[in-house]
Amino acid sequence: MRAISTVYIIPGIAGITATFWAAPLWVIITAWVVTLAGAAWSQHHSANKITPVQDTDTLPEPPQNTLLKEHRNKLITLLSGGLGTVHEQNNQVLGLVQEAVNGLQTGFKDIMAQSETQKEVVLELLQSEGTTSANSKCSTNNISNFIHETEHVLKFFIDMIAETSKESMRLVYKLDEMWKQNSRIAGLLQDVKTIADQTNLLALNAAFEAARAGDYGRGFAVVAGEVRTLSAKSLSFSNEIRTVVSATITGISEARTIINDIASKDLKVMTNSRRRVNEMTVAIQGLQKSSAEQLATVSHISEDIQHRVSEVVMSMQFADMVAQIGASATQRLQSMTALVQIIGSLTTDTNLTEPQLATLRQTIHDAEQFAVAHAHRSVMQHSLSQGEVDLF
Amino acid sequence: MPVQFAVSDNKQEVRVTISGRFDFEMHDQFGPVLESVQKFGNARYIIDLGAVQDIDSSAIGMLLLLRDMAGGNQARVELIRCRPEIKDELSMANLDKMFTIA
Repeated sequence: MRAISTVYIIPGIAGITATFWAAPLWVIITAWVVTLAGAAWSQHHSANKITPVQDTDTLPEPPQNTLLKEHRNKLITLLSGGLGTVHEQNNQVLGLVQEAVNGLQTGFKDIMAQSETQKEVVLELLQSEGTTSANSKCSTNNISNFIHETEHVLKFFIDMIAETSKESMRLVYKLDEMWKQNSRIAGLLQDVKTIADQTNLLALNAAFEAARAGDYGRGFAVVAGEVRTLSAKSLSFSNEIRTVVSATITGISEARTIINDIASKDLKVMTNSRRRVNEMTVAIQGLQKSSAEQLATVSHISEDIQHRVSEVVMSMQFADMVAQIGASATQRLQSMTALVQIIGSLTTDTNLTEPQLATLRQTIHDAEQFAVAHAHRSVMQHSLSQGEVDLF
Repeated sequence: MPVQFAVSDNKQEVRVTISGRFDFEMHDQFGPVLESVQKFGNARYIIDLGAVQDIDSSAIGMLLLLRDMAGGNQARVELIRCRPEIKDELSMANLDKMFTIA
């Protein structure tokens, strides 16, 4: 830093006076501080400036103008008041920003939490989509299970009908065989009847011949009578058997009719049902696929929301930067207030002593360094995108 | 005749042609086909259903019985020239897993 050899108050006050009526308060303050800080520097570069005066020299005699004094005091009062107001407003802005940022952060945290819940629900749905648990929350899955079960049951019934038909047909062919055997029995019984008839006739002939033989044939007549009786009995048996056989044949026919009913089922109702169930299965599978896709999309959106919200929360660091800039502004305002007070304490009608001058030089030197340091900081903090917070 | 069957010279192939409604009433005529199975054993059976208009479960029973008698899972039974609706019906009755259906 350059050393300031001489302090010029007059040019500073003159500058303020010149711009006061034309410029707003801030411009005046800035112009005044710049003029004050840069006074020593500018004297080296300008030939038109007043010749430098040594430290040991006394300050130029202030003009004994009471009007000028009055104006100066008014300006100092205005400056002090203005700086106070700016300080107050700065604090207000900082407070508002902090409050707003707190609200925003709470809101975004809630959004994050809700989005997380949403994602969990979606993941749960996606998982239940893949499982076959009975207490699944997904309705399409339940329907799918139901359809699957129905298909299973229908297949079972159809298989059973086919199996029943097969065994019925086997039975029918067996019955047909039995019917043939029984028909043969009926034919054989006819032979038995013929034999019985012939035996009867024979017995009749024997009885006739026995009668012709007279007393000698009496015993033979008894035998012929017995034979005739046997023949009648055998015919009677044969008739009984025929009755039973014909009842059996009737029974077989009836059984065949019943089996016919069992074996002959119209398959169309069953096969049509199965066809419809198959179609439903395909439809449900399509539905499941599309719902899974939609859930996946929702899941991605949730992730995206979380990602964006975390980006926004990161951007909230601007609040810290604003607080730091505000603190810096407060410090500068305090420094400027102190400078204004020093100006107020300077009297134009007396010469300054050497210790007074030394204190003044030190104060100005400090103010200059402070200004440079703060200008540097404000350059470092102009952007949020760097994602860095320069902590003071 | 609604059911006709012919045996190849080498007795290795039995060709059965069925026409009309293939239902229980057909079982009398189908009987000789089943008897031939006992005669020719594991020959190849080709059942031509080209002229069949309709079938019911007893027809399926007869076909399954033929398959059983011809060796069950080892039987070589082919159902050929099926109409689309007949083919569909046979598939829906799970016969496509037991027979070669064409």
